[in-house]
Amino acid sequence: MNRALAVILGIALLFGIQTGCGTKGGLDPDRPVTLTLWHNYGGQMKETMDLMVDEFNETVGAEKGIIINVTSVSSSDALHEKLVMIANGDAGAPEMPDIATANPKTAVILADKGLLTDLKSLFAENELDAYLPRFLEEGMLGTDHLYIFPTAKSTEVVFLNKTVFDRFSKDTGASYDDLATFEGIARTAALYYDWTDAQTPDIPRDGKTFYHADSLFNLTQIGCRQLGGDFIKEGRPDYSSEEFQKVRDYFFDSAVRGHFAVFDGYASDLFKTGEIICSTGSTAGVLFFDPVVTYPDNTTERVELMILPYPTFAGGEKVAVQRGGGMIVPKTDDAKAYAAGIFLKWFTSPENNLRFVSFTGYLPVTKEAFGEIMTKEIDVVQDRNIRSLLETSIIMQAEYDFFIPLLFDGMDVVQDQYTKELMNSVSDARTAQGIQ
Amino acid sequence: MNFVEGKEVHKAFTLRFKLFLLLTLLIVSILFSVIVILTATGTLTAGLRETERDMKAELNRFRSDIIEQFGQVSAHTVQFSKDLSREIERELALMGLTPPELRDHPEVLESLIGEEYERSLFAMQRANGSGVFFILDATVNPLLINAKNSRTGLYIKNMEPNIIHAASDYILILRGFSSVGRQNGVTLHSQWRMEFDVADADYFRAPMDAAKNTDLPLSRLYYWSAAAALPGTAEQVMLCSAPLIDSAGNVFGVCGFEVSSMLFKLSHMPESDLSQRAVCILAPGTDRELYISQAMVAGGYSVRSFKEQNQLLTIRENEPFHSYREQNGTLYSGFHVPIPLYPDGSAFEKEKWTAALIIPDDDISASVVSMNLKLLGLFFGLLVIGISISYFLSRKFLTPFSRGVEIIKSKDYVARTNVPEIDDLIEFLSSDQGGKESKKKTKHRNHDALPESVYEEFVRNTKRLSPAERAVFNLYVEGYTAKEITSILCLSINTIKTHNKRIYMKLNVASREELLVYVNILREAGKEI
Repeated sequence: MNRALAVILGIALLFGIQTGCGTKGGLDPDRPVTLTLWHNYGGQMKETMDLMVDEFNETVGAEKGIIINVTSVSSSDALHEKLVMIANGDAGAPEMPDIATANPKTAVILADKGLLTDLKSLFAENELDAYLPRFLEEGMLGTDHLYIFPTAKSTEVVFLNKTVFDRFSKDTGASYDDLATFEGIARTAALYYDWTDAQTPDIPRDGKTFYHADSLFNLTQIGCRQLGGDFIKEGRPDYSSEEFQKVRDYFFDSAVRGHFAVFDGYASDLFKTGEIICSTGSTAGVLFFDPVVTYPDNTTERVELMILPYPTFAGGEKVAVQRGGGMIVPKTDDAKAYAAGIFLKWFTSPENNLRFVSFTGYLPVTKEAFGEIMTKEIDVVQDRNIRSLLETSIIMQAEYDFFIPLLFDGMDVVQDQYTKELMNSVSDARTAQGIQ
Repeated sequence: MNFVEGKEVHKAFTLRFKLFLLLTLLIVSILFSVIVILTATGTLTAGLRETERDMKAELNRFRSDIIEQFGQVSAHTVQFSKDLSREIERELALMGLTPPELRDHPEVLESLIGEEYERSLFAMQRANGSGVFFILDATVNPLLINAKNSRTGLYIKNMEPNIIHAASDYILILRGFSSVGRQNGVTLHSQWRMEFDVADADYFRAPMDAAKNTDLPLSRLYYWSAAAALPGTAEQVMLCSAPLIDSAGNVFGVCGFEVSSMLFKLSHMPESDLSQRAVCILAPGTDRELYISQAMVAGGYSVRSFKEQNQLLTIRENEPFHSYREQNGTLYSGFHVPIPLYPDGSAFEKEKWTAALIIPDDDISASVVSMNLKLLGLFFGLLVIGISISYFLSRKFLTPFSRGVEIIKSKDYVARTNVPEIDDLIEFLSSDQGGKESKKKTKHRNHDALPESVYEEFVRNTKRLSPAERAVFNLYVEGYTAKEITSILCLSINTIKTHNKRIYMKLNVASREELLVYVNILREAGKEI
C-alpha cells in the first residue's frame, strides 16, 4: 500500500514540476511577453531595423516567448523630448516604452529619477567583457551602474559631395588632403565660394556655402580638446580659454563670409539641395545623405559621397567625439527586464551587430565585431557609402583618441544657448556687413 | 498468488485494501461524473467560446474606431479641400491668375505653396492625421523629361501623431520646396523630394478624374488609397484625398491627409489579453479574399511575412472561427466585417474594405490545449488528493477492528476499542470464554479448594455494593450477559461498564469470569450470596 502511495505522490510531484517549472525567467513561449520599443533608426535604416525585429520575433522571440513591438520611430531629439516628458510626468506624455534608444543626455535624466534598470543585472560579467570597454563606460554615466547598453555607436567624420568637389577641384586645384584640417576646410570653403560666385558673373557675391558642422557644440568641444584644452570645466562652458577663442573665431570668420552655413539643422538637408558640399557629422547620418541632389529648378544630379576622417586643428591632436547612445531599459517587472536582456544580447551579437552596422553606418560594439570580423566582412558590405564609412572608421580607430563628452546639469540648455548665440552673432555680423 | 507445499493459494485482499478500493472507486466515479457534466454542459469548451466572444467584441470595437477615425479624416479632407481651394483661388486672384493658369506660371508656385504651410499644419492637427498634403496640377519645371509625372505641392509629416504636444522635432517636410522648411524651422524628411511623382498615384488621379467626370458634390469625391509606401519612402501609408476645385468648377489638384502605418498601429492595437499575436487589419477585399499587401495592420506581432511575400488572405467561413490562409499556408483564425469608408452615392462606393481581427491558428489551439491541460491537471490533483484521503480513511476506519482483534488474541477482555459494536463482540467473547473458564475452574477448585476466609470475604464485600451495583451483580449471578443486563435494567452499556468496574473493584476480582467462579463455588457450597 505504501509503495502504491509513493508512486502516486511521485507522479503528482512530477506533474507539478512539469507544470510549475515550464518557464525560464518568467517567460513562456505559449504566453509571450510583449516589449514596446522606441528607436531612432528611421528613414533608410527603418527597413533594416524592421527586418531585424521581425527576425528576432520569429526566432529567438518565438522560442523564448518575447515579442518586440516597435511603437515609435523618431529622431533622437524627438525621442529625447518624449522620454523627458515621461520623466517629468508632463500632461500628454506617452506611456514609457520597455526599451528605447537613448543618448547619454537623455539617459542621465531618467537615471537621476530612478527610472532605469541597471543593465548589469541582465548580463553576466563575461558577457559584458565582449563589449568595447569605452562604450560600456559611456553607458555607465559616471556611476557603477550600466544604464545605456551599447547597441550601435558612432563618431564624427567628414562627408563630401565628391562629384561636385571633383569639378571644383579640377578648376581650382583643391584637394582632399586640404580637408584633413579645419584650417584647410576654411581655405577650401573660401575658394569654393569664389569659384561658385564666378559662375554667375552678372550676380555679385552669390557664392555658395561649402561647409556645415552638424553640431557646433561638438565642434567646439572637440576643437578645444584637440588643442589641449577643455571647453567644459566643472560643469560649465569656459569661454575664456585660448583654445575656445581659436575655435570660435575659426567658425565665426568663415561663417560671416558665407563660407560656412549658419543652419540649425543637419547638413544632409543642405546636401539634398546642393546648398553645401562638405560637412562634419555623425557616421550614423550616412544614410541621410541622398545620392540625388535636387536643385531649385527641380533638376536633379546623382552624386557620389566621400567620407574622410575627422579634421584636426593645425598643431592639434587627433581627437574625435564618441557619439551614439544605445538602448535603455526603463524599470519594469522581472520578466520584461529578463526579456529585454535577451533581445539586447541577440541584437548585439557579433553577427547581428555587424549586419546592422553594414546597413546603417553605425559602428559595431563588440570587440569581436569591431576587430577581425569587420575587417574581413567589409568587402561584402553592399552600400558603397557604408563601406567607405567603415574603412574610414577603422583608420580613425587606429589613429584617433575618442572623447566622451562630459555630462552635466543643464547641458541641453547650455548646448542650445551656445549654438543659438553663436549663430545669432554670425547673423548679426553678416547683416552689419551687408552679406546675405 | 502463493504456492504452499505445491498447492495454489489465493491471497485474499485485506478488508483495508477493499475499503481503499471502494473509496477510490467512489472518488473516481464522482470526478468522472463531473467531467461528464462539464462536457454535457459545454463547460470544457467555454474557453473557446470565451475567445470567440472576446474576439467579436474586440472586432466590434475595432470597427467602431475605424469608422470614427476614417470618417473624421474623410470629413476633414472635404473641409480642407473647400478651404484650400478658396484660399488658393484668392491668392492667385491677387496675382491676376486663376487656378487653371498655374501650369503656365511656375514662378508663383513657391510663394503660393509657402503661404499654405500654416493652414495645412493646422488642418493636420485638427484631423489627427499623421500627415497632410496638397498637390497642384502643375510643376516647377515643365521642361524636364519627367515633368508629366511631376507635380508640385506640399507634404508635411508628423512623426509622432499620437503625442498631443506637437513639437517641431516631430514635423518634417516630405515633399515641397526646401524653402518652406527653412522658413518654418522644419527639417526635410530623409526621403524628401521637391515634387510628387504621380505616375502611379491613384490618390492624385482618382479624385481628380471623379471630379472631372461626374457632377457629384465634394463630399462624394474623396478617395482612400490602399496602403502603400510613396516612391522613395519606407513607411506604408493610407491617403485620403479630395479634389481642389475652384469656383468655376475647374479641378486643379488634390489635398488630403495621411494615416501612417504607425498611427494606425498605435490607434488600433488589439487588447493584449486576447492574444499577444492578435492582429487588426483594414484591407481592401471581399468576404472571400483580403488584399493583405495593401492593408493597414495593427498588432504587436510581426506580420511582415505575409505582408511582403503574399498578396492575399483567403477566407473560409468556418465555425466557430473563420479561417484566413496565407498563400504560403500559414493559417489564422478570426472574424471580419465590412467597413463603409464611403457614403452612399460616392464615386468610390464600389470599393470594398474589410476590417478583420485574426490570431495565428496555433495560438487558439494552444490556448484551448493550455486550458484543457489546466483542467486535466486539476482533475489529476483532485484524484491524487482523493486517493490519499481514501488511503488514510481506510486505515483510520479499520484501526479499531485491528485493535479488537488484538484484544481478542491477547484475551485482554478488559481493554476496549471505543467502538460499541466491537466492544460488544469482545464482551460476548469474554462471557463465552468466562463460562468455559469457570467450568474449568470449578473442576479445579473441587480438587484444590481455596481457604474459607477468601469466600467469606467475597460474601462480605457483596454487602458493600450499592443498590444499583447489586442489581447488576444479581443479574450476573443469574447468568445474564452485559448486553442483556442493559435491556433488563434499561441502562446504557457504558453505565453497565462503570458498574462493572466498581463491582470488580469492591469484590476484588479482575473480570466477570473470576466473579462467576466465586459465585459458582459459593453456590455449590450452599452459601447465600
